[in-house]
Amino acid sequence: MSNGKQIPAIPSNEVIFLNEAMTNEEFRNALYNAKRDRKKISDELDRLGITFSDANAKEAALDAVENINWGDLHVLEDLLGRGGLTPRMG
Amino acid sequence: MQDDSDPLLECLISNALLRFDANLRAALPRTAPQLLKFLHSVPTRPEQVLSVRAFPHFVLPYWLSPARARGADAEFQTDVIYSTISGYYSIRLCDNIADNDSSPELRKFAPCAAYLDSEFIRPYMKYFPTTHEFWSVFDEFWAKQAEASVADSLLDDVDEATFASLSSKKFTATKIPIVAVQFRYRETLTSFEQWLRFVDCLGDFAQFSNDFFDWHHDSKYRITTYVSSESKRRAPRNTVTEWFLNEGLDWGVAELKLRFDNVKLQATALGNKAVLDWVTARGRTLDSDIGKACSGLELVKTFGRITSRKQP
Repeated sequence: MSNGKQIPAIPSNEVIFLNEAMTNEEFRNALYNAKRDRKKISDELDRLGITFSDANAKEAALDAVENINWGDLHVLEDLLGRGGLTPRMG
Repeated sequence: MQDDSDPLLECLISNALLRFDANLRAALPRTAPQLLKFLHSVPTRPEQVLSVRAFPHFVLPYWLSPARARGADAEFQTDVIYSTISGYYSIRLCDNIADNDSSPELRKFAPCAAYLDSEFIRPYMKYFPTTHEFWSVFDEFWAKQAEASVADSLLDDVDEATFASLSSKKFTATKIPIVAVQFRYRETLTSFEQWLRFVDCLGDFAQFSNDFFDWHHDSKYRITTYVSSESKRRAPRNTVTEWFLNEGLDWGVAELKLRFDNVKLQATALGNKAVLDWVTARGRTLDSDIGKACSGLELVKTFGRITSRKQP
C-alpha cells in the first residue's frame, strides 16, 4: 500500500451514520422501531445534515429504512464505540 | 467463561479478590469507594477474571503450577493472585490517568498507586528473601512494564517496529507471577522460557486487539496507537472513520488474525492443556467479535445506499 494516497471516497452519509450509531443510543432505538419512530428518524436525518434531492426521495429512503432489520446495530457500540471491550484485554 | 469447571481456581480467585477489597477499604477508608468507582472495567468478581476476553494475568501462574501443588500450596497461590490484582489495579490507575480515560478527578487518586504497588510486592516478600534471584527478575520486568507504558504514551507515531518493540511490551509485568511460580516449584524449569515467549506473543495480540477495537475512543481522546498511526500513514487526507470504513476494518482483521495465529503456535509449543483450551475459546470469541463488527458495518453501508439512492 502506498503512503499518502487518497482512499476511494466513502459516502459522507456512512461516516455520519457510523459515528452516530456508535454513540447515540436514542438514534439506534428509533431505528429498531423504524415504523413507529418514522418521524423521529426523519428529524434525526435533518439534524445530521443528511439531505435528499426532494421530499419524495426522503420518503423513499424512510420507507427503505423501515424495511431493514437494524437489530445488530448495537454491536457497533458494544465492540467499537465504548473505548474497550469489557473486561479490557489488558 | 474459561475454566469454570475448576472450583479450586475459582475459590482462590474469590478469596484473593475478597482480601484485596477488604484490605483496600481498611487501608484507604475514605478513598477506596471512589477509587473503585472510577476504575471501571477492573475485575471485582471471579467470573470477570475468568472471562475469556480478559488477559489471563491471574490464571497463567496457576496453569503453570504443578497440579498437585495448586491445592496443597493454596496460601502461595492466593498470595500470587492477590499480588497480581494489586499490580493490575496500579497499572490501570496509572494508564487511565495517562490516557485521560476516566473522570479528571481520577488524577487526585494517583497517590493510591503507592499503596497498590506495596500490596503487589508484599506477598512475594514472604517467599523470597531479599537476596533471592527472584528479585532481580522482578525488578527487570516491573521496570520494563513502566518503561514501555510511559514511552508508548509519549509517542506521536507508532509504526510496526515500534509496536513490536514497545507497545506490545506493556504486558511484561504478567511475567512476574510466572517467575514466582517458577522459583517456587523449580520443576517447571524446562518450559519456563516458552511461557515467557507465550506472554510476549499474547501481549502483542492483546495490545493490537485493544488498539483495534478502541479505534473510535482513541481517536476521540487523541490517543496515539499503531492503528491510529496506520490510518494517518495510509490515508493522511482522510479521517480515521473514513479509513476504517474503507480499508481499516479489513486491515485490522487481517492483523488480528495473524497475531492470534502466533498465539496459537506458541500455545501449541507450550503444550499446556488449560492454555490450549483458553486459546481455543479466545479464538471463538475473536471470530464472533469480528463477525459482529463486519455485520454492523454492513448496516452502515446499507444506510449509505438507502440515503444516497437516486430517484428513478
